[in-house]
Amino acid sequence: MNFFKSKFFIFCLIAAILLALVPTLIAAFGGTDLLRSALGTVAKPFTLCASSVANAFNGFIEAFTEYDQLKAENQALKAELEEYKNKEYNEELLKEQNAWLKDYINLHDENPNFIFTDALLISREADNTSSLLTFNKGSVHGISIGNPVVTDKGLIGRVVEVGLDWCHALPITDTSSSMGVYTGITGAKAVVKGSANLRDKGLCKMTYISNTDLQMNDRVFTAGGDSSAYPAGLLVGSITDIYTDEATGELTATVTPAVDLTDLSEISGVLIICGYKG
Amino acid sequence: MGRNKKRSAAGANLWRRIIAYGILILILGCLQCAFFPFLKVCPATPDLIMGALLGIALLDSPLSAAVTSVCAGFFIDAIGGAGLALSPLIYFFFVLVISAFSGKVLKSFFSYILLLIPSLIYRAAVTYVFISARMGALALLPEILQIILPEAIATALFCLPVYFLVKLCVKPLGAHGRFTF
Repeated sequence: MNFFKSKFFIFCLIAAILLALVPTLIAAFGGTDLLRSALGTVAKPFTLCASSVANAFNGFIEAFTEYDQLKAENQALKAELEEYKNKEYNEELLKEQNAWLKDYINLHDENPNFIFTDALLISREADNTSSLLTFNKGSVHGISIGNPVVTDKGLIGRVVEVGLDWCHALPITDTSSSMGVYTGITGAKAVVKGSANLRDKGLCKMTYISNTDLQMNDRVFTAGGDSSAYPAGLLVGSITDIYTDEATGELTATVTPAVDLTDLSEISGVLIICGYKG
Repeated sequence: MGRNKKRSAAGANLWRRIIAYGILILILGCLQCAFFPFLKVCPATPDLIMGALLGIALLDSPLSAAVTSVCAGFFIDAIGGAGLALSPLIYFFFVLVISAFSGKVLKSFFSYILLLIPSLIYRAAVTYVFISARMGALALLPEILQIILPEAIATALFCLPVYFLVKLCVKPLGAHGRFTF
């Protein structure tokens, strides 16, 4: 209580009032208190340091407090990314389907009497003697033995075995395959069959050529007929080599099929002709 | 000769106090104005200066606390205030209030915690007056819950270690001297 009775108390009180009122009045009139300004300048590095430490501390704490939020956000973004990836994939599928449908419509327009069934290549047997292709359609889909298998590019082969929902097709490059054909430009008739020498290269052999008038790159089509497994007019391929067989002395040609049978990825958009209208 | 020796000892003591309390107020003022306001985990800014003044009043003397309160108030307004600069008066009156109790208790941490209670009430009253003056009359309960209570909790929590800081400053000073002019 001595302090309250001392003159120092009055001194402190006056000092407190002055230090409170003077800066307030100066600020009220828009001025700057020099002493306050100087104190602020001196304290600036310390306050800067303190705020930097506080921000660093905040960053450290956020690693723990916002972990769950960031985790949830991350999962949501992953799900969104997955969704966009699926959309993109579906778009690609739709594009392919659209392209296939265009080709189908094209093929259908060119052959309005054919009844088509689309099929998917699911496996291939490849050994020294046979190269059967397996498709995902069978008897329940109207497939029967002998049905030609085509794409918009050309002939693949014919169905040789049928199950309920599968079928085996013999490609035209197989040694067991044989068909009557004609050339598009010269009209020469011939037989195209598979060859052991050419099968692995995806090529066919043309023999029994009716006339010598053959041209390179001339297109070869199926001749059709009652005894033929194939209807007339299906594109087989094109002539890529003409030569004389050394063994028989006969005019022979090599036909490159329109569908590349050595590359399975090329065998897409497959249609099986399972009937004829009329 | 004896009188001159006493005067020089008192003078040296005075300078030691100025330096010790000056550094203490500088650190606590920077924490109060530049550290805690930026801290997101802290619900409100604690009044560390009030805790320091309480410690000085308890461990040293009300006289030292009174002088420090005026200077600390001015410093706080200089680095953290704008417009109204009433902190010197506010802290000075706080020391007056707390000095009524500080002389009657033991100089211990328990006494410090005990005296923190009226300090927090004083702080809450000042905050309420300031808010009412700035924002007009407000409903009391939301103000208490959103501003006054968080401030009281933060002040109570962070002023506890301030006691030990003040003790660190006061201990080398020895017995307090009387200021004479």
